[in-house]
Amino acid sequence: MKSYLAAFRGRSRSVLRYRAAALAGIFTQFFFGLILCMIMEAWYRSAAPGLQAPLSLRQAASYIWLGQIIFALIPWRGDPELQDLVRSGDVARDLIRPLDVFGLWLARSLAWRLASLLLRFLPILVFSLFILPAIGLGDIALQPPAGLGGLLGFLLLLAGAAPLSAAITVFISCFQFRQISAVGANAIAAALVSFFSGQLVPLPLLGGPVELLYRLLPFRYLADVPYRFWLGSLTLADLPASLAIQAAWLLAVLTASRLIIQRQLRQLAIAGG
Amino acid sequence: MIHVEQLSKTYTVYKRIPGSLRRQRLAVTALDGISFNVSPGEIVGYIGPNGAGKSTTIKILSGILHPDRDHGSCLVNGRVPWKNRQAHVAGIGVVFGQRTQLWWDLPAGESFGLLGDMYRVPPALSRERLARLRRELDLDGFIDTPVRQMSLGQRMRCELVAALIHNPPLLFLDEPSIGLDAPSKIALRDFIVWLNRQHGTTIILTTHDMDDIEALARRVLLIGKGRLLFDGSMAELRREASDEKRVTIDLAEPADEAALRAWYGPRGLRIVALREHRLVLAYDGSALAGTEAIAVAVQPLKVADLSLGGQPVEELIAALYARHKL
Repeated sequence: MKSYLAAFRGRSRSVLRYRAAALAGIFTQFFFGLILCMIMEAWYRSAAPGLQAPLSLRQAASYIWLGQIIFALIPWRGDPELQDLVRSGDVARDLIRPLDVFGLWLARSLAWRLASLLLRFLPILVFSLFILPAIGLGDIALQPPAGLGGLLGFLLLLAGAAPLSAAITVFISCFQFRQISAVGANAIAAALVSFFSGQLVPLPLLGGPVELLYRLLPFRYLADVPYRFWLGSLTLADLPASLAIQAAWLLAVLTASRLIIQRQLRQLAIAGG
Repeated sequence: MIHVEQLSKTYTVYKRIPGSLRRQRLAVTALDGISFNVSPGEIVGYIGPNGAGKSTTIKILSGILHPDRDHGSCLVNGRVPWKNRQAHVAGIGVVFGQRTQLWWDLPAGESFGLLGDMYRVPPALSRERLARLRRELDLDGFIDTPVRQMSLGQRMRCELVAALIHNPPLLFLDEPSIGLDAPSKIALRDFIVWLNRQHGTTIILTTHDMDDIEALARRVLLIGKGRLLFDGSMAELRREASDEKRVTIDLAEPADEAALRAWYGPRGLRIVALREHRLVLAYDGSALAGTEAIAVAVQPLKVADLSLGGQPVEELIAALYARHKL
Protein backbone atom coordinates (compact mmCIF):
# COMPACT_ATOMS: atom_id res chain seq x y z
CA MET A 1 0.00 0.00 0.00
CA LYS A 2 2.85 2.32 0.92
CA SER A 3 4.33 1.71 -2.53
CA TYR A 4 1.15 2.67 -4.34
CA LEU A 5 0.73 5.65 -2.05
CA ALA A 6 4.19 6.83 -3.14
CA ALA A 7 3.04 6.71 -6.77
CA PHE A 8 -0.09 8.63 -5.79
CA ARG A 9 1.94 11.29 -3.96
CA GLY A 10 4.42 11.68 -6.81
CA ARG A 11 1.70 12.31 -9.35
CA SER A 12 -0.46 14.59 -7.23
CA ARG A 13 2.55 16.74 -6.31
CA SER A 14 3.45 17.01 -9.99
CA VAL A 15 -0.09 18.09 -10.87
CA LEU A 16 -0.19 20.65 -8.08
CA ARG A 17 2.85 22.32 -9.63
CA TYR A 18 0.89 23.33 -12.72
CA ARG A 19 -1.21 26.10 -11.23
CA ALA A 20 -1.45 28.18 -14.38
CA ALA A 21 -2.99 25.23 -16.21
CA ALA A 22 -5.52 24.88 -13.40
CA LEU A 23 -6.35 28.57 -13.61
CA ALA A 24 -6.96 28.25 -17.34
CA GLY A 25 -9.20 25.25 -16.63
CA ILE A 26 -11.20 27.22 -14.10
CA PHE A 27 -11.89 29.97 -16.61
CA THR A 28 -13.00 27.40 -19.18
CA GLN A 29 -15.43 25.99 -16.65
CA PHE A 30 -16.83 29.45 -15.80
CA PHE A 31 -17.36 30.06 -19.47
CA PHE A 32 -18.97 26.70 -20.23
CA GLY A 33 -21.14 26.86 -17.13
CA LEU A 34 -22.51 30.26 -18.10
CA ILE A 35 -23.09 29.29 -21.75
CA LEU A 36 -24.89 26.05 -20.82
CA CYS A 37 -27.04 27.93 -18.29
CA MET A 38 -27.99 30.50 -20.90
CA ILE A 39 -28.97 27.73 -23.33
CA MET A 40 -31.10 26.18 -20.58
CA GLU A 41 -32.73 29.50 -19.88
CA ALA A 42 -33.55 29.97 -23.56
CA TRP A 43 -35.05 26.46 -23.73
CA TYR A 44 -37.18 26.94 -20.69
CA ARG A 45 -38.43 30.36 -21.77
CA SER A 46 -39.38 29.10 -25.24
CA ALA A 47 -41.11 25.94 -23.97
CA ALA A 48 -44.87 25.63 -24.45
CA PRO A 49 -46.69 27.13 -21.46
CA GLY A 50 -47.86 24.54 -18.97
CA LEU A 51 -45.28 21.95 -20.06
CA GLN A 52 -44.08 20.03 -17.00
CA ALA A 53 -40.29 19.65 -17.32
CA PRO A 54 -38.60 16.89 -15.24
CA LEU A 55 -36.34 19.59 -13.77
CA SER A 56 -37.06 23.22 -12.97
CA LEU A 57 -34.79 25.81 -14.53
CA ARG A 58 -33.11 26.35 -11.18
CA GLN A 59 -32.52 22.60 -10.85
CA ALA A 60 -31.16 22.37 -14.39
CA ALA A 61 -28.77 25.27 -13.71
CA SER A 62 -27.64 23.62 -10.47
CA TYR A 63 -27.04 20.37 -12.35
CA ILE A 64 -24.88 22.24 -14.84
CA TRP A 65 -22.85 24.01 -12.18
CA LEU A 66 -22.24 20.77 -10.30
CA GLY A 67 -20.90 19.43 -13.58
CA GLN A 68 -18.47 22.33 -13.86
CA ILE A 69 -17.36 22.00 -10.23
CA ILE A 70 -16.38 18.35 -10.53
CA PHE A 71 -15.34 18.60 -14.18
CA ALA A 72 -11.77 17.48 -13.43
CA LEU A 73 -13.09 14.21 -12.05
CA ILE A 74 -14.85 13.19 -15.28
CA PRO A 75 -12.75 10.68 -17.26
CA TRP A 76 -13.45 12.17 -20.68
CA ARG A 77 -10.00 11.13 -21.94
CA GLY A 78 -7.20 8.72 -21.07
CA ASP A 79 -4.35 9.73 -18.82
CA PRO A 80 -1.92 11.67 -21.05
CA GLU A 81 0.99 10.59 -18.87
CA LEU A 82 0.15 6.90 -19.26
CA GLN A 83 -0.49 7.27 -22.97
CA ASP A 84 2.79 9.07 -23.44
CA LEU A 85 4.53 6.39 -21.42
CA VAL A 86 3.35 3.67 -23.77
CA ARG A 87 4.03 5.71 -26.89
CA SER A 88 7.60 6.59 -25.95
CA GLY A 89 8.49 3.25 -24.41
CA ASP A 90 9.04 4.83 -21.00
CA VAL A 91 6.61 2.21 -19.76
CA ALA A 92 9.84 0.29 -19.20
CA ARG A 93 10.48 2.32 -16.07
CA ASP A 94 7.10 1.31 -14.61
CA LEU A 95 7.95 -2.32 -15.22
CA ILE A 96 11.12 -2.14 -13.15
CA ARG A 97 9.15 -1.14 -10.06
CA PRO A 98 8.23 -3.88 -7.58
CA LEU A 99 4.55 -3.01 -8.02
CA ASP A 100 1.60 -4.33 -9.94
CA VAL A 101 1.49 -2.20 -13.09
CA PHE A 102 -2.27 -1.90 -13.04
CA GLY A 103 -2.26 -0.81 -9.38
CA LEU A 104 0.49 1.68 -10.14
CA TRP A 105 -1.46 3.20 -13.02
CA LEU A 106 -4.67 3.30 -11.05
CA ALA A 107 -2.94 5.12 -8.20
CA ARG A 108 -1.45 7.59 -10.65
CA SER A 109 -4.69 8.26 -12.49
CA LEU A 110 -6.53 8.69 -9.22
CA ALA A 111 -3.88 11.18 -8.09
CA TRP A 112 -4.19 13.07 -11.36
CA ARG A 113 -7.98 13.32 -11.13
CA LEU A 114 -8.10 14.21 -7.45
CA ALA A 115 -5.27 16.75 -7.54
CA SER A 116 -6.85 18.46 -10.55
CA LEU A 117 -10.20 18.49 -8.73
CA LEU A 118 -8.63 19.95 -5.61
CA LEU A 119 -7.06 22.78 -7.61
CA ARG A 120 -10.25 23.70 -9.44
CA PHE A 121 -13.46 23.01 -7.57
CA LEU A 122 -13.49 25.78 -4.98
CA PRO A 123 -13.54 28.92 -7.18
CA ILE A 124 -16.41 27.56 -9.30
CA LEU A 125 -18.34 26.46 -6.22
CA VAL A 126 -18.03 29.91 -4.64
CA PHE A 127 -18.88 31.63 -7.93
CA SER A 128 -21.99 29.60 -8.68
CA LEU A 129 -23.32 29.27 -5.14
CA PHE A 130 -22.66 32.75 -3.74
CA ILE A 131 -21.60 35.25 -6.38
CA LEU A 132 -24.26 34.55 -9.03
CA PRO A 133 -27.19 35.13 -6.60
CA ALA A 134 -25.45 38.21 -5.22
CA ILE A 135 -25.32 39.83 -8.67
CA GLY A 136 -28.96 39.11 -9.38
CA LEU A 137 -28.55 35.94 -11.45
CA GLY A 138 -30.21 33.69 -8.88
CA ASP A 139 -32.17 31.89 -11.63
CA ILE A 140 -29.05 30.30 -13.07
CA ALA A 141 -27.12 29.91 -9.80
CA LEU A 142 -26.29 26.70 -7.95
CA GLN A 143 -29.00 25.96 -5.38
CA PRO A 144 -27.89 24.60 -1.99
CA PRO A 145 -28.21 20.81 -1.61
CA ALA A 146 -31.57 19.26 -0.76
CA GLY A 147 -30.97 18.98 2.96
CA LEU A 148 -28.26 17.14 4.82
CA GLY A 149 -29.39 13.82 3.33
CA GLY A 150 -28.93 15.20 -0.19
CA LEU A 151 -25.47 16.47 0.65
CA LEU A 152 -24.51 13.16 2.26
CA GLY A 153 -25.72 11.17 -0.74
CA PHE A 154 -23.89 13.53 -3.10
CA LEU A 155 -20.61 13.26 -1.17
CA LEU A 156 -20.73 9.48 -0.79
CA LEU A 157 -21.49 8.94 -4.47
CA LEU A 158 -18.73 11.40 -5.35
CA ALA A 159 -16.31 9.45 -3.17
CA GLY A 160 -17.18 6.35 -5.20
CA ALA A 161 -17.00 8.30 -8.44
CA ALA A 162 -13.30 9.06 -7.87
CA PRO A 163 -12.02 5.45 -8.10
CA LEU A 164 -14.56 4.71 -10.85
CA SER A 165 -13.20 7.67 -12.80
CA ALA A 166 -9.60 6.51 -12.28
CA ALA A 167 -10.54 3.00 -13.42
CA ILE A 168 -12.23 4.31 -16.58
CA THR A 169 -9.22 6.57 -17.21
CA VAL A 170 -6.90 3.55 -17.10
CA PHE A 171 -9.32 1.60 -19.29
CA ILE A 172 -9.24 4.31 -21.98
CA SER A 173 -5.46 4.59 -21.67
CA CYS A 174 -5.13 0.85 -22.38
CA PHE A 175 -6.12 1.43 -25.99
CA GLN A 176 -2.78 3.16 -26.42
CA PHE A 177 -1.12 -0.25 -26.46
CA ARG A 178 -2.92 -1.32 -29.60
CA GLN A 179 -3.07 1.94 -31.46
CA ILE A 180 0.16 3.78 -30.57
CA SER A 181 -1.80 7.00 -31.11
CA ALA A 182 -4.43 7.73 -28.49
CA VAL A 183 -6.32 10.32 -30.52
CA GLY A 184 -9.05 7.89 -31.56
CA ALA A 185 -9.71 6.39 -28.15
CA ASN A 186 -9.70 9.83 -26.57
CA ALA A 187 -12.13 11.27 -29.09
CA ILE A 188 -14.61 8.42 -28.65
CA ALA A 189 -14.28 8.59 -24.89
CA ALA A 190 -14.81 12.35 -24.90
CA ALA A 191 -18.12 11.99 -26.74
CA LEU A 192 -19.41 8.93 -24.88
CA VAL A 193 -18.38 9.90 -21.36
CA SER A 194 -19.33 13.59 -21.55
CA PHE A 195 -22.77 12.84 -22.88
CA PHE A 196 -23.74 9.74 -20.93
CA SER A 197 -22.44 11.04 -17.62
CA GLY A 198 -24.69 14.08 -17.93
CA GLN A 199 -21.96 16.66 -18.41
CA LEU A 200 -23.40 18.04 -21.66
CA VAL A 201 -27.17 17.92 -21.18
CA PRO A 202 -28.79 17.11 -17.81
CA LEU A 203 -29.82 13.47 -18.18
CA PRO A 204 -33.19 13.88 -16.41
CA LEU A 205 -34.27 16.01 -19.38
CA LEU A 206 -33.78 13.11 -21.79
CA GLY A 207 -36.23 10.27 -22.23
CA GLY A 208 -36.98 7.37 -24.58
CA PRO A 209 -34.16 5.22 -25.97
CA VAL A 210 -31.52 7.66 -24.72
CA GLU A 211 -32.73 7.11 -21.18
CA LEU A 212 -32.53 3.35 -21.63
CA LEU A 213 -28.99 3.74 -22.95
CA TYR A 214 -27.67 5.97 -20.19
CA ARG A 215 -29.17 3.67 -17.59
CA LEU A 216 -27.26 0.75 -19.11
CA LEU A 217 -23.89 2.53 -19.03
CA PRO A 218 -21.62 3.17 -16.03
CA PHE A 219 -20.97 6.83 -16.76
CA ARG A 220 -23.98 8.32 -14.96
CA TYR A 221 -22.54 7.05 -11.67
CA LEU A 222 -19.76 9.58 -12.12
CA ALA A 223 -21.99 12.64 -12.32
CA ASP A 224 -25.72 12.29 -12.91
CA VAL A 225 -26.47 10.10 -9.89
CA PRO A 226 -24.54 12.21 -7.35
CA TYR A 227 -26.17 15.36 -8.79
CA ARG A 228 -29.64 13.86 -8.33
CA PHE A 229 -28.89 13.43 -4.65
CA TRP A 230 -27.84 17.08 -4.41
CA LEU A 231 -31.05 18.16 -6.20
CA GLY A 232 -33.22 15.93 -4.05
CA SER A 233 -34.68 13.80 -6.87
CA LEU A 234 -32.90 10.84 -5.26
CA THR A 235 -33.14 10.51 -1.49
CA LEU A 236 -31.43 8.59 1.29
CA ALA A 237 -33.73 5.64 0.57
CA ASP A 238 -32.07 5.32 -2.87
CA LEU A 239 -28.57 5.56 -1.43
CA PRO A 240 -27.78 1.86 -0.74
CA ALA A 241 -28.90 0.75 -4.21
CA SER A 242 -26.99 3.57 -5.94
CA LEU A 243 -23.81 2.84 -4.02
CA ALA A 244 -24.12 -0.88 -4.73
CA ILE A 245 -24.53 -0.40 -8.49
CA GLN A 246 -21.67 2.10 -8.53
CA ALA A 247 -19.45 -0.41 -6.69
CA ALA A 248 -20.42 -3.16 -9.13
CA TRP A 249 -19.46 -0.96 -12.09
CA LEU A 250 -16.18 -0.10 -10.38
CA LEU A 251 -15.40 -3.78 -9.95
CA ALA A 252 -16.31 -4.54 -13.56
CA VAL A 253 -14.15 -1.78 -15.04
CA LEU A 254 -11.23 -2.63 -12.74
CA THR A 255 -11.34 -6.28 -13.74
CA ALA A 256 -11.61 -5.52 -17.44
CA SER A 257 -8.74 -3.03 -17.57
CA ARG A 258 -6.55 -5.23 -15.41
CA LEU A 259 -7.02 -8.14 -17.78
CA ILE A 260 -6.33 -5.96 -20.81
CA ILE A 261 -3.13 -4.57 -19.31
CA GLN A 262 -1.81 -7.98 -18.36
CA ARG A 263 -2.49 -9.26 -21.84
CA GLN A 264 -0.83 -6.28 -23.50
CA LEU A 265 2.25 -6.36 -21.31
CA ARG A 266 2.96 -9.91 -22.38
CA GLN A 267 3.12 -8.77 -26.01
CA LEU A 268 4.99 -5.59 -25.27
CA ALA A 269 7.80 -4.46 -27.53
CA ILE A 270 10.03 -1.52 -26.71
CA ALA A 271 12.22 -0.25 -29.51
CA GLY A 272 15.43 1.75 -29.40
CA GLY A 273 17.58 2.16 -26.33
CA MET B 1 23.96 -14.59 -10.46
CA ILE B 2 22.82 -14.55 -14.08
CA HIS B 3 22.38 -17.70 -16.06
CA VAL B 4 21.21 -17.37 -19.64
CA GLU B 5 20.86 -20.22 -22.04
CA GLN B 6 19.66 -20.16 -25.63
CA LEU B 7 17.65 -16.98 -25.08
CA SER B 8 15.67 -15.84 -28.14
CA LYS B 9 13.38 -12.94 -28.90
CA THR B 10 11.47 -12.21 -32.07
CA TYR B 11 9.59 -8.98 -32.73
CA THR B 12 6.81 -8.53 -35.21
CA VAL B 13 7.18 -5.44 -37.35
CA TYR B 14 4.98 -4.20 -40.13
CA LYS B 15 6.27 -2.97 -43.44
CA ARG B 16 4.13 -0.75 -45.58
CA ILE B 17 4.08 -1.94 -49.18
CA PRO B 18 4.88 1.20 -51.21
CA GLY B 19 1.93 2.60 -53.13
CA SER B 20 -0.51 0.34 -51.32
CA LEU B 21 -2.48 0.49 -48.11
CA ARG B 22 -1.67 -3.09 -47.26
CA ARG B 23 1.10 -3.94 -44.91
CA GLN B 24 3.37 -6.86 -44.63
CA ARG B 25 4.03 -8.71 -41.42
CA LEU B 26 7.68 -9.41 -40.74
CA ALA B 27 9.33 -11.32 -37.94
CA VAL B 28 12.57 -9.70 -36.83
CA THR B 29 14.94 -11.77 -34.76
CA ALA B 30 16.45 -9.58 -32.06
CA LEU B 31 18.05 -12.41 -30.09
CA ASP B 32 18.97 -15.71 -31.66
CA GLY B 33 20.01 -18.14 -28.96
CA ILE B 34 22.24 -16.21 -26.55
CA SER B 35 24.00 -18.04 -23.70
CA PHE B 36 26.23 -16.70 -20.94
CA ASN B 37 26.73 -16.67 -17.18
CA VAL B 38 27.64 -13.81 -14.86
CA SER B 39 29.09 -14.35 -11.38
CA PRO B 40 28.47 -12.07 -8.39
CA GLY B 41 30.77 -9.04 -8.27
CA GLU B 42 31.60 -8.98 -11.98
CA ILE B 43 31.51 -5.89 -14.18
CA VAL B 44 30.51 -7.04 -17.64
CA GLY B 45 30.61 -4.80 -20.69
CA TYR B 46 27.94 -5.71 -23.20
CA ILE B 47 28.80 -4.28 -26.60
CA GLY B 48 27.62 -4.47 -30.17
CA PRO B 49 26.44 -2.15 -32.94
CA ASN B 50 23.03 -0.44 -32.92
CA GLY B 51 20.22 -2.96 -33.25
CA ALA B 52 22.40 -5.89 -32.22
CA GLY B 53 20.11 -6.91 -29.36
CA LYS B 54 21.85 -5.32 -26.37
CA SER B 55 18.85 -3.43 -25.05
CA THR B 56 16.57 -6.37 -25.74
CA THR B 57 18.79 -8.57 -23.58
CA ILE B 58 18.80 -6.00 -20.77
CA LYS B 59 15.03 -5.64 -20.96
CA ILE B 60 14.49 -9.39 -20.77
CA LEU B 61 16.94 -9.76 -17.89
CA SER B 62 15.23 -6.91 -16.03
CA GLY B 63 11.79 -8.49 -16.46
CA ILE B 64 10.36 -5.88 -18.83
CA LEU B 65 10.03 -8.04 -21.92
CA HIS B 66 9.02 -11.64 -22.39
CA PRO B 67 11.35 -13.71 -24.58
CA ASP B 68 10.05 -16.16 -27.16
CA ARG B 69 8.19 -19.00 -25.55
CA ASP B 70 9.60 -22.52 -25.55
CA HIS B 71 13.07 -21.18 -26.08
CA GLY B 72 15.95 -21.47 -23.69
CA SER B 73 16.10 -20.54 -20.06
CA CYS B 74 17.07 -17.54 -18.03
CA LEU B 75 17.63 -17.21 -14.31
CA VAL B 76 18.59 -13.98 -12.53
CA ASN B 77 19.15 -14.19 -8.78
CA GLY B 78 17.53 -17.61 -9.02
CA ARG B 79 14.33 -16.23 -10.55
CA VAL B 80 12.84 -16.18 -14.02
CA PRO B 81 12.60 -12.39 -14.52
CA TRP B 82 9.33 -12.18 -16.46
CA LYS B 83 7.52 -14.84 -14.47
CA ASN B 84 7.84 -13.25 -11.06
CA ARG B 85 8.50 -9.69 -12.12
CA GLN B 86 7.67 -7.88 -8.88
CA ALA B 87 9.92 -10.01 -6.69
CA HIS B 88 12.62 -9.95 -9.36
CA VAL B 89 12.82 -6.19 -9.84
CA ALA B 90 13.06 -5.58 -6.09
CA GLY B 91 16.57 -7.07 -6.36
CA ILE B 92 17.84 -5.18 -9.40
CA GLY B 93 18.57 -1.59 -10.33
CA VAL B 94 18.27 -0.31 -13.89
CA VAL B 95 19.49 2.93 -15.47
CA PHE B 96 18.34 3.71 -18.99
CA GLY B 97 20.61 6.39 -20.44
CA GLN B 98 17.90 7.52 -22.83
CA ARG B 99 15.00 7.56 -20.42
CA THR B 100 14.39 9.04 -17.02
CA GLN B 101 12.83 7.27 -14.09
CA LEU B 102 12.56 10.37 -11.93
CA TRP B 103 9.46 12.51 -11.62
CA TRP B 104 10.00 15.16 -14.27
CA ASP B 105 8.36 17.98 -12.32
CA LEU B 106 9.66 17.19 -8.85
CA PRO B 107 13.04 17.92 -7.27
CA ALA B 108 15.29 14.85 -7.35
CA GLY B 109 15.34 14.72 -3.55
CA GLU B 110 11.58 14.20 -3.45
CA SER B 111 11.82 11.51 -6.13
CA PHE B 112 14.35 9.61 -4.01
CA GLY B 113 12.02 9.69 -1.02
CA LEU B 114 9.11 8.41 -3.11
CA LEU B 115 11.25 5.66 -4.63
CA GLY B 116 12.41 4.61 -1.17
CA ASP B 117 8.75 4.20 -0.21
CA MET B 118 7.99 2.32 -3.42
CA TYR B 119 10.71 -0.20 -2.66
CA ARG B 120 9.59 -0.34 0.98
CA VAL B 121 12.99 0.75 2.27
CA PRO B 122 12.75 1.77 5.94
CA PRO B 123 12.97 5.61 6.05
CA ALA B 124 16.04 5.68 8.31
CA LEU B 125 17.93 3.29 6.05
CA SER B 126 16.81 5.17 2.95
CA ARG B 127 18.09 8.47 4.43
CA GLU B 128 21.43 6.92 5.36
CA ARG B 129 21.92 5.42 1.88
CA LEU B 130 20.88 8.64 0.23
CA ALA B 131 23.36 10.64 2.32
CA ARG B 132 26.19 8.35 1.24
CA LEU B 133 25.24 8.35 -2.45
CA ARG B 134 24.72 12.09 -2.34
CA ARG B 135 28.26 12.57 -1.05
CA GLU B 136 29.76 10.10 -3.48
CA LEU B 137 28.03 11.65 -6.51
CA ASP B 138 28.23 15.24 -5.27
CA LEU B 139 24.55 16.05 -5.67
CA ASP B 140 24.39 18.94 -3.22
CA GLY B 141 24.18 21.71 -5.78
CA PHE B 142 21.05 20.46 -7.52
CA ILE B 143 19.22 17.92 -5.37
CA ASP B 144 16.37 20.41 -4.85
CA THR B 145 16.08 21.36 -8.55
CA PRO B 146 13.15 19.92 -10.54
CA VAL B 147 14.47 17.17 -12.80
CA ARG B 148 13.30 18.93 -15.97
CA GLN B 149 15.67 21.81 -15.24
CA MET B 150 18.78 19.68 -14.73
CA SER B 151 21.63 19.29 -17.16
CA LEU B 152 22.10 15.79 -18.58
CA GLY B 153 25.15 15.18 -16.40
CA GLN B 154 23.29 16.17 -13.26
CA ARG B 155 20.31 14.08 -14.24
CA MET B 156 22.38 11.00 -14.92
CA ARG B 157 23.92 11.19 -11.45
CA CYS B 158 20.41 11.38 -10.01
CA GLU B 159 19.34 8.42 -12.14
CA LEU B 160 22.11 6.37 -10.54
CA VAL B 161 20.88 7.25 -7.06
CA ALA B 162 17.32 6.41 -8.11
CA ALA B 163 18.43 2.97 -9.26
CA LEU B 164 20.35 2.27 -6.06
CA ILE B 165 18.04 3.48 -3.29
CA HIS B 166 17.02 -0.13 -2.53
CA ASN B 167 20.66 -1.29 -2.63
CA PRO B 168 20.27 -3.94 -5.35
CA PRO B 169 23.00 -6.57 -5.70
CA LEU B 170 22.66 -6.35 -9.50
CA LEU B 171 22.73 -3.17 -11.57
CA PHE B 172 21.96 -2.83 -15.27
CA LEU B 173 23.32 0.26 -16.99
CA ASP B 174 21.92 0.69 -20.50
CA GLU B 175 24.08 3.31 -22.23
CA PRO B 176 24.54 5.42 -19.11
CA SER B 177 27.22 7.62 -20.67
CA ILE B 178 25.27 8.60 -23.78
CA GLY B 179 25.58 12.33 -24.40
CA LEU B 180 27.69 13.01 -21.32
CA ASP B 181 30.68 15.39 -21.35
CA ALA B 182 34.17 14.17 -20.42
CA PRO B 183 34.13 15.13 -16.70
CA SER B 184 30.70 13.55 -16.24
CA LYS B 185 31.84 10.37 -17.97
CA ILE B 186 34.86 10.13 -15.74
CA ALA B 187 32.76 10.79 -12.61
CA LEU B 188 30.37 8.07 -13.77
CA ARG B 189 33.19 5.58 -14.26
CA ASP B 190 34.72 6.37 -10.88
CA PHE B 191 31.36 5.86 -9.25
CA ILE B 192 30.78 2.51 -10.94
CA VAL B 193 34.18 1.28 -9.80
CA TRP B 194 33.49 2.53 -6.25
CA LEU B 195 30.10 0.82 -6.19
CA ASN B 196 31.53 -2.46 -7.40
CA ARG B 197 34.39 -2.40 -4.87
CA GLN B 198 32.48 -1.03 -1.92
CA HIS B 199 29.26 -3.01 -2.24
CA GLY B 200 30.28 -5.89 -4.49
CA THR B 201 27.48 -4.87 -6.86
CA THR B 202 27.37 -6.92 -10.05
CA ILE B 203 27.16 -4.57 -13.01
CA ILE B 204 26.06 -5.18 -16.58
CA LEU B 205 26.93 -2.23 -18.77
CA THR B 206 25.98 -1.56 -22.37
CA THR B 207 27.68 1.31 -24.15
CA HIS B 208 29.08 2.50 -27.43
CA ASP B 209 31.87 4.31 -25.62
CA MET B 210 34.80 1.93 -25.77
CA ASP B 211 36.72 3.97 -23.22
CA ASP B 212 33.95 3.08 -20.75
CA ILE B 213 34.49 -0.57 -21.51
CA GLU B 214 38.25 -0.32 -21.25
CA ALA B 215 38.08 1.58 -17.96
CA LEU B 216 35.46 -0.63 -16.34
CA ALA B 217 34.88 -4.04 -17.79
CA ARG B 218 37.12 -6.93 -16.93
CA ARG B 219 34.91 -9.00 -19.18
CA VAL B 220 33.33 -8.14 -22.51
CA LEU B 221 30.41 -9.75 -24.30
CA LEU B 222 30.16 -8.86 -27.98
CA ILE B 223 26.80 -9.36 -29.63
CA GLY B 224 25.85 -8.89 -33.26
CA LYS B 225 22.65 -9.71 -35.15
CA GLY B 226 21.27 -11.41 -32.06
CA ARG B 227 24.20 -13.78 -31.62
CA LEU B 228 26.97 -13.80 -29.06
CA LEU B 229 30.25 -13.40 -30.95
CA PHE B 230 32.77 -13.06 -28.17
CA ASP B 231 32.95 -13.62 -24.42
CA GLY B 232 36.23 -12.84 -22.68
CA SER B 233 38.57 -10.17 -21.33
CA MET B 234 39.44 -6.95 -23.10
CA ALA B 235 42.99 -8.24 -23.65
CA GLU B 236 41.64 -11.36 -25.33
CA LEU B 237 39.33 -9.25 -27.44
CA ARG B 238 42.34 -7.24 -28.60
CA ARG B 239 44.21 -10.39 -29.50
CA GLU B 240 41.13 -11.72 -31.25
CA ALA B 241 40.82 -8.56 -33.29
CA SER B 242 44.45 -7.92 -34.16
CA ASP B 243 47.81 -7.69 -32.53
CA GLU B 244 48.50 -4.33 -33.99
CA LYS B 245 50.54 -1.93 -31.85
CA ARG B 246 51.17 1.76 -32.33
CA VAL B 247 54.15 4.07 -31.92
CA THR B 248 53.20 7.74 -31.81
CA ILE B 249 56.06 10.20 -32.27
CA ASP B 250 56.21 14.00 -31.99
CA LEU B 251 58.88 15.19 -34.40
CA ALA B 252 61.43 17.88 -33.59
CA GLU B 253 62.06 18.39 -37.30
CA PRO B 254 59.81 17.72 -40.31
CA ALA B 255 60.49 14.46 -42.15
CA ASP B 256 60.06 13.33 -45.74
CA GLU B 257 57.29 10.78 -46.11
CA ALA B 258 58.70 8.91 -49.11
CA ALA B 259 62.07 8.47 -47.43
CA LEU B 260 60.43 7.24 -44.23
CA ARG B 261 58.26 4.80 -46.15
CA ALA B 262 61.35 3.35 -47.80
CA TRP B 263 63.05 2.98 -44.42
CA TYR B 264 60.17 1.50 -42.41
CA GLY B 265 58.62 -0.73 -45.08
CA PRO B 266 61.19 -3.55 -45.11
CA ARG B 267 61.55 -3.38 -41.30
CA GLY B 268 57.92 -4.24 -40.42
CA LEU B 269 56.58 -0.76 -39.62
CA ARG B 270 53.77 0.99 -41.45
CA ILE B 271 52.97 4.70 -41.52
CA VAL B 272 49.40 5.24 -40.32
CA ALA B 273 49.55 9.03 -40.33
CA LEU B 274 52.09 11.80 -40.86
CA ARG B 275 50.79 15.28 -40.14
CA GLU B 276 53.02 18.28 -39.44
CA HIS B 277 55.00 17.19 -36.41
CA ARG B 278 53.17 14.01 -35.60
CA LEU B 279 53.94 10.55 -36.94
CA VAL B 280 51.92 7.44 -36.14
CA LEU B 281 53.41 4.04 -36.93
CA ALA B 282 51.81 0.61 -36.69
CA TYR B 283 53.47 -2.79 -36.32
CA ASP B 284 52.51 -6.39 -35.64
CA GLY B 285 52.99 -7.00 -31.91
CA SER B 286 53.49 -10.73 -32.39
CA ALA B 287 56.36 -10.21 -34.85
CA LEU B 288 58.20 -7.30 -33.27
CA ALA B 289 59.00 -6.50 -29.63
CA GLY B 290 58.29 -2.98 -28.39
CA THR B 291 61.96 -2.08 -27.88
CA GLU B 292 62.88 -3.27 -31.38
CA ALA B 293 60.05 -1.28 -32.89
CA ILE B 294 61.13 1.87 -31.08
CA ALA B 295 64.74 1.41 -32.14
CA VAL B 296 63.75 1.10 -35.79
CA ALA B 297 61.22 3.92 -35.54
CA VAL B 298 63.45 6.61 -34.09
CA GLN B 299 66.53 5.95 -36.20
CA PRO B 300 65.70 8.26 -39.17
CA LEU B 301 64.08 10.94 -37.01
CA LYS B 302 64.71 13.80 -34.60
CA VAL B 303 62.28 12.86 -31.83
CA ALA B 304 60.66 15.34 -29.44
CA ASP B 305 58.34 12.87 -27.73
CA LEU B 306 57.30 9.25 -28.12
CA SER B 307 54.60 6.93 -26.84
CA LEU B 308 53.79 3.28 -27.34
CA GLY B 309 50.32 1.75 -27.27
CA GLY B 310 47.75 -0.60 -28.71
CA GLN B 311 45.35 0.06 -31.52
CA PRO B 312 42.70 2.55 -30.34
CA VAL B 313 39.72 0.64 -29.05
CA GLU B 314 37.26 2.39 -31.36
CA GLU B 315 39.21 1.23 -34.43
CA LEU B 316 39.59 -2.22 -33.00
CA ILE B 317 35.86 -2.59 -32.48
CA ALA B 318 35.09 -1.14 -35.89
CA ALA B 319 37.47 -3.69 -37.44
CA LEU B 320 35.82 -6.44 -35.43
CA TYR B 321 32.31 -5.39 -36.52
CA ALA B 322 33.54 -5.29 -40.12
CA ARG B 323 35.04 -8.76 -39.81
CA HIS B 324 31.76 -10.19 -38.53
CA LYS B 325 29.88 -8.18 -41.20
CA LEU B 326 27.71 -6.42 -38.59
